[in-house]
Amino acid sequence: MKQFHNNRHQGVRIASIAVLVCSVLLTACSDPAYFQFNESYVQAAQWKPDVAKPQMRKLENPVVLLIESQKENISTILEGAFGTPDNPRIPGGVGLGDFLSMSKLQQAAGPVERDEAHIPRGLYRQHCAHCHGVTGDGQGPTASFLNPYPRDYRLGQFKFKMTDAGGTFKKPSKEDLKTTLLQGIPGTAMPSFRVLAGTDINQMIDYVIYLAIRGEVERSLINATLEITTSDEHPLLVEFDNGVKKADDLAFVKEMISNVVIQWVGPDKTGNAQRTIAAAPDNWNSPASVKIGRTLFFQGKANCFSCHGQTAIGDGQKNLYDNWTLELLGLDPSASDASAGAEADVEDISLESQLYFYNEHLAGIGALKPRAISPRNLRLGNFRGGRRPIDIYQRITSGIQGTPMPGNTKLTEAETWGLVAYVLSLPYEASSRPQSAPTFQRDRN
Amino acid sequence: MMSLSATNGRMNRWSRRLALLLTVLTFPLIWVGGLVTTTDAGMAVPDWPNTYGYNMFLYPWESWLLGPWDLFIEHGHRLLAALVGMVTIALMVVVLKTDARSWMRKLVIVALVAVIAQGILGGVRVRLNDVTLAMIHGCTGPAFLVLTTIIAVMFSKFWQNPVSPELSAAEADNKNEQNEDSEFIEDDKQQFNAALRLARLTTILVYCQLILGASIRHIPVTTSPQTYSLLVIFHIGMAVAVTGHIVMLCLAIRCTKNLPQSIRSGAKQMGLLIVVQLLMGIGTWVLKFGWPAGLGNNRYLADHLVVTQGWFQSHVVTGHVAIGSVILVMAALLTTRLLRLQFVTQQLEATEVIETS
Repeated sequence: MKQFHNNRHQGVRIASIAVLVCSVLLTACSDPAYFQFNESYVQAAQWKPDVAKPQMRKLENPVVLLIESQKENISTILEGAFGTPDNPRIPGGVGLGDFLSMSKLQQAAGPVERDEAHIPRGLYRQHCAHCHGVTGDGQGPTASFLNPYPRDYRLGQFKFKMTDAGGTFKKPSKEDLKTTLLQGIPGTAMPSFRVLAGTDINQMIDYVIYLAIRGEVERSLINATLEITTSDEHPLLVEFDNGVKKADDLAFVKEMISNVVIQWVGPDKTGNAQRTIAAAPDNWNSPASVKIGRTLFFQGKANCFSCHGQTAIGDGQKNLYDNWTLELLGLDPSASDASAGAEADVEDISLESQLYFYNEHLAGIGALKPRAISPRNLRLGNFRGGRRPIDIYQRITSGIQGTPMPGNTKLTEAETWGLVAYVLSLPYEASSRPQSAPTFQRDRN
Repeated sequence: MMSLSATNGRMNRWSRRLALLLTVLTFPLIWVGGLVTTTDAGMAVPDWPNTYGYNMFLYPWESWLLGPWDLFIEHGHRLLAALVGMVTIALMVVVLKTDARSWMRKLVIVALVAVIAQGILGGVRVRLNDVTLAMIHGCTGPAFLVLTTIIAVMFSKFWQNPVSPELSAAEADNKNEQNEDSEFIEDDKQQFNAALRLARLTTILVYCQLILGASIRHIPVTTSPQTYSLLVIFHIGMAVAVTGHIVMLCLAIRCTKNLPQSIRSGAKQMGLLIVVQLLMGIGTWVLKFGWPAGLGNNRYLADHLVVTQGWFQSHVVTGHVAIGSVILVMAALLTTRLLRLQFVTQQLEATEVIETS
């Protein structure tokens, strides 16, 4: 009898394992690659904050809800302009021809393979899509395990670049993206691709820009569709069946694409120029300069300690979100600029209320759960955007787009270099030393 | 002691050598196959069965050895696979000519069919550029390695004589000492059966774990993060289950009396390997995705940079796959030996009963 029970128990275990394995394998079988519609942005754009209770969102006008035919219309427009993941297209007549290379896009797109001349194809899917997703939405298979989440290109915002200056964020240059790809981002899952050939890197850069432009255009199309006011209850952005109106509609779409493209290509159509930072003065890291930096760190003019904490270990504020997360919480990320950072007024809202919009409208469509962003622990000596003095200088003066880190335009050059020197000295400073910090805090108040 | 060898001694030696050679060649084939997946070299040669239009065996060796790394790996994998296929054919011919055991004749035919099917599967994966087929190809490879190992065991000295004279004498002494205490003998048998049951279950669990690992490695880019999370969590849970079973198996074998040294040392080696494998699993994750965020406030961990297709990453990840296959083979080997021991012991007991009566 005991033997019978043992055998039955073992059989049940084996059967349950087999069923689980089979079910997981069946789930893993996937559809062919396609660009996912930005459903979470549709939700965010449709549902506006309740004026009386900003933490709650409500549908102001049920008529504006996007219906399937409107979403299909947007997808058709996008496919016409940008093609598919296997056959990308560069929209014509919008100034992208000199900036993006069709041959590079074709080699970066599609499934992973080699052609008869041993030239690789599908570089994006080979190296990027498992984290950033086929659509560039930051929702590749591995995304939920990574912290920070992989970048969602569709917002068109990139963190580490040398094109930002004077309190204005600009699109990154190809050189900026190349720096990130070659150097990777230490302490995160973003790898260095320094082992790859230079041509492979350049192809991936063009494809990432292509996905970012496509994503931004998609957002503009969704906004435009929601804003159309016609007698039709659910108007289409481009009426492909209406021969007369179609041309006008397409011209409108073309203008919309051009508005996105111009931010990338700049006035001379070759991309935004990187900022030139003058060489640091000889005594930039002298003890006196470090002292100036230390004073500024705790004073209102730089105000670094309010986020990075009095001991600079990044424990100043816990309730901060980046732009990608703000959207998941139902807040408007476009409200922030370089000098203000992406700080949102979410401090007084309970976690449950913050997650209300996500839980109600986004969790069901597979959006990743919002996470707070931590200010950098400056005592690690590890800076994600680069550890050269010039990199720190750029982060202090221009901020980090999409995050609460603002660009500071009030500091003089000497003050900025002093702050750079202090930040770079922090890993070597005893963490008990900033005991006089409260004094500075009082000064500030 | 009954003789279980039914073959010509001289030719049987050749069968044994070929079976051993087949196993020895199949393991590096699995390793190189793992490297093909790790380095995304599966499509480095876009045609099949040819290599860039050449007959596979006539592809210029300079282009192969001095060409791109992924071409070197993929073409090398194909050539090694062809060699394994040829050794399988040789083994089949020798066995069919010299071995009277019908099940052994069938087994080598199955091995040949399996190696051909595996080759075709790999070829179709290339022709269709299908990741799911690559995953299946990656799962059936280790199964073939298990088959070749079992065949090799069947030609080993252990198979012909699992109960050595020394062991039989010790067993007889034990029996005399215990005055044929039937309760004691019954306990011993139960211990043996428990070890056999655990060995079987461990083999199945390790193979399931291997399938899960293959699913994670070959995950299609269109898979949702939720599905991937499920696979990873299941893979970690299964790692705990496999480790637990291997520990229990080691203890069961340790507690079972009168087992040959080869079984005892096999269990110990598997116990050691699972520790190495767990460390390799952690290493694989860290080298692919970095340290978990919670550990990021350590200066050295925060400085860790993932390097795509770096030498260290490629070999640790592939090593994790290959060691998984070795653990599977060791579990299958242990099961096969225990089954053989059980069979022979039962035969001997039956003979004793007949002689006594």
